[in-house]
Amino acid sequence: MPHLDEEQITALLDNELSPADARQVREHLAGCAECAARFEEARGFLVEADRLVRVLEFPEAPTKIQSVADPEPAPRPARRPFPTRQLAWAASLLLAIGFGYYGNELRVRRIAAPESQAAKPAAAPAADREADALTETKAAPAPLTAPAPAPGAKLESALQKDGGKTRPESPQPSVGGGLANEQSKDKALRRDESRRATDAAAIGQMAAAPPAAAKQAAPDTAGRWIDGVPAAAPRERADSASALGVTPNGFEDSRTSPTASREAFRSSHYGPVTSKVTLEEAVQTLGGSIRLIDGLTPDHVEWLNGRTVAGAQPELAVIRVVYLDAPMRELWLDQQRGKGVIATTDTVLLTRPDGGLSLQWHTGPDGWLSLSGHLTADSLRILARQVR
Amino acid sequence: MTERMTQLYHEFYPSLVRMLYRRTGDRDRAEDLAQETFARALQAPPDNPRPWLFAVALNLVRDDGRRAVRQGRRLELYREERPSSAPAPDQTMDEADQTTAVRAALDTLATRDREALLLKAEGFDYDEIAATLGLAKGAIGTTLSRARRRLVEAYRAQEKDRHAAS
Repeated sequence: MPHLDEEQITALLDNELSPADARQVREHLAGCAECAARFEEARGFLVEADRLVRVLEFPEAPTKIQSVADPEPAPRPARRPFPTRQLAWAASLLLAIGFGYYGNELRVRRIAAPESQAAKPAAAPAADREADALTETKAAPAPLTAPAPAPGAKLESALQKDGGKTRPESPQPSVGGGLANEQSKDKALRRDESRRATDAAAIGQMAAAPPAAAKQAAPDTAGRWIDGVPAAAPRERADSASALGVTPNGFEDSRTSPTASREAFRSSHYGPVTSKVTLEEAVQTLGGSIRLIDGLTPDHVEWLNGRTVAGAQPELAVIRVVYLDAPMRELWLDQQRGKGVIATTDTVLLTRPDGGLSLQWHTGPDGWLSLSGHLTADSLRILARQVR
Repeated sequence: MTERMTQLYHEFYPSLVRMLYRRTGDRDRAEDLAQETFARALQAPPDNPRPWLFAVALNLVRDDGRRAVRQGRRLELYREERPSSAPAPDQTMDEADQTTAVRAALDTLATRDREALLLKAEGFDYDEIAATLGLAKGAIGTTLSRARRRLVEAYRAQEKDRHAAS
């Protein structure tokens, strides 16, 4: 087969080829280094151009829908409301089950809290507590942050609703009630401040991760495209903070790999990852473009069933762009696009069963996005503004 | 208004006005052009609405081009002067700089290339882009490839100049 032309390469990237033609083109790319390099370059331009176009977002939702056709405003078509309440109940149920199952561990941690906190400095950073939590964690998953908030509510409303009685890490009532309340309030304030500082540091570390050097893509023996090394190769990486970069030529999986301990941690906390996909496949799933967080370097991309992602449309696939920060926490940018997405103008903040937060919103009539992680709501909102 | 037109309105209006905004850089003008497009569709309902609507809209942009661009620039300046409850000043400046740079890079593209790129960003497939722009389907891939490359290269050149100047 002669070298591929620009039309073929672009059509493959845009998922415009028939399955037979696509297979033929991929087979050629597998055996032609020159065409493979041109393919990678074209893919890099696609990703970057798409990101740039999306910088030009419409300033606000269009409002003049009815003014041309009808002199009087027409009633809005019935829309399915975002199931916030149902999701909150589901989250509360999952949290209740989690609390019941891990009750012993939480009780041990609380009993130890007054002595350990008396010895620590007043503004102990959240990362220290998380490091302690990680070392104590057994095989079953546990929240990465301090003990999870009250079930069935957003993080903020949970802290307000219980009046401080069950604030995370509040000391046991071994002292007078008034003094304990003051101490718990001070502790909550210091915890919030330190957590914001930790979030800001985490965001800074994620942004500072250097981009990877360009490498040529190659398919595995089954013909599935894997960037860099074949999927079966062992993955070793010395530093989880040196996350993978989005280069001008697309994602790279081969430059660095996670340590065995990080893989074990991820498996224990998030479950085994069985649906990693290439950027190209993700772009195709989303109909030709993908959203990324500007300034951050993704680790990898996953494909998930819409039914397994809270807030997503069950009938559509979810593409998850996974970012890492230093304390081995993951930040997820989930996205869907398609005619099954039912758009609203609401932005929703949910509490995940593991205590993390999820900020969800719609982009246009057929796009859904979710930004999830163990960050504060403010931090998620800041990052959401950088989604392009 | 017929039920079908109502359906078309809700289905295509947000995408149309977004594409027009990216094409013109003026929110109000984009909405006005979108409304005028649908007004024409009311007079002669199209059989294949999506390419028809976007083709009419792009024709309106071209017909109204020079005067509307000047007006759009004045409106942009006015909008920047108004106080807003936006986030931190440095973040706003960065976003505004990036928007300006992207728009300038987009303006370096040939008209057809730019329009093909914007239609692709709205989820058009090759058949629809070809029908909207009056091009052969076999040329769409090459058009998009050229547009993407030129947009990225123009943007990078601007960023390089901007950093060198600062």
